Amino acid sequence: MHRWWMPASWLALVAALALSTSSPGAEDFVDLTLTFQGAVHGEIAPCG
Amino acid sequence: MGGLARRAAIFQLIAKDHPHVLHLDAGNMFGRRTEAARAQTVFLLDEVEKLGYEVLGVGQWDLNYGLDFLREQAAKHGFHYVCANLHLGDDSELLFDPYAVVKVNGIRVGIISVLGQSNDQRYKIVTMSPKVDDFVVDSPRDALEKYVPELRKKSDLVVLLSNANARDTRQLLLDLGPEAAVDICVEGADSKQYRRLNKVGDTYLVSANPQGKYLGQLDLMLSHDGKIQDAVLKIHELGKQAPEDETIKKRVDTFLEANKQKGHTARLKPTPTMGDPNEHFLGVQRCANCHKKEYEVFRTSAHAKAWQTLVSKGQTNNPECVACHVTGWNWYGGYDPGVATDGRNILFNVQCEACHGYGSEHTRDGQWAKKAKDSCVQCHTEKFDPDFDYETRWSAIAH
Repeated sequence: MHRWWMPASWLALVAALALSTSSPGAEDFVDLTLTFQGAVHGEIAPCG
Repeated sequence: MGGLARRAAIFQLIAKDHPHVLHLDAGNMFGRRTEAARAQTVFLLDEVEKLGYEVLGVGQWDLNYGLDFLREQAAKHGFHYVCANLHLGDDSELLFDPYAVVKVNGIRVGIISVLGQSNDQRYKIVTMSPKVDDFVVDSPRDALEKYVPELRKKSDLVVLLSNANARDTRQLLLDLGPEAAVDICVEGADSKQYRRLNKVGDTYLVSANPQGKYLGQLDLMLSHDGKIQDAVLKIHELGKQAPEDETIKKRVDTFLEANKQKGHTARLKPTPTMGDPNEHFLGVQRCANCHKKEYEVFRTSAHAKAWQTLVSKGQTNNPECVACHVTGWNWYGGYDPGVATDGRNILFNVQCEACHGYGSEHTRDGQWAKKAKDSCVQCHTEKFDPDFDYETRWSAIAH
């Protein structure tokens, strides 16, 4: 006897497996470096 | 510590491992309100352009030479100054764009800047310009709540350059509603420095001030929509151990030498706030009359050459430097370049009285005015001399 829900559950199982194996990889991220300073007050050289 | 040549060398090292870099200045890059400092600021801006800065926050010091000067320099160098809450008098139009967006490695970085407010609404910005600019600073919170939501739509990552002081910046971040929250805040108003990565709400708060002696580096790992997945903070000390870019060092040395020869050095004026107007510094030669052995130790020490190091570096007009290379800077009766004795100022170098106090007190009561040991750390601070160790240094000048 055909059980109509079986294909659906198989599909759900396959989808869950697919999701579990598609965790983020390195290509899913980008690198960005910020350098920062403040209150330089015109300084260009060490005192001595 | 500090200097353009060291900053440039650190930039080169960072670029080796991190190809996608954005350089940010949180404001107050300009110098003091003197002609010498203005000339130095012009030189500094030339170099800053070469280092790759594009977007800069406006700090109070950046208005020291007037609005027209700042705008001229911005146009000359192609800098994009941003400030979301500064206007003139009754004219509500902002003097600068409130924000800018820069694309780096596919990420749209939105950069917005605000000035802090003084206690009253009118911000007392004094400039060297003959034109009186009636600067008004609006509420930074109102400005951010107005502009951040529209900036957020144009950006993947929002960075605030705050020129409020450290306490007000922290409160500002706490007060902002979720629509106006920023991802990263760089504080550039005062000497506060954070060695660890701070988080205020959902915002990373960083600061690497002051006076060009440090450089902050924040390495971010972002998702493609700009969400911060990881953040690593590093504060570079631009001390003696830091490498120097020789080309820039030569340009700096050449500038300082030329500036020195223009005679700017006489413009420096102390503003005494310490000590006692009724006491006097006597000078090291008077001390030597009785303390010959101690004088010999002084004469051969680095303290006796402190002034010469400023002369060789062309920094004799820089109060940040002078304070620790003379005796009694900003003390009543202390070093003053306008006061000379027989053509010589007797208070050059770090003399006996720099540590022991007024000689006039000592000659009267025969006692040291204060414990000299405690005075070392007034100059040998963590910022200026991070390797300072009392026992080691004392052994070099024991007397």
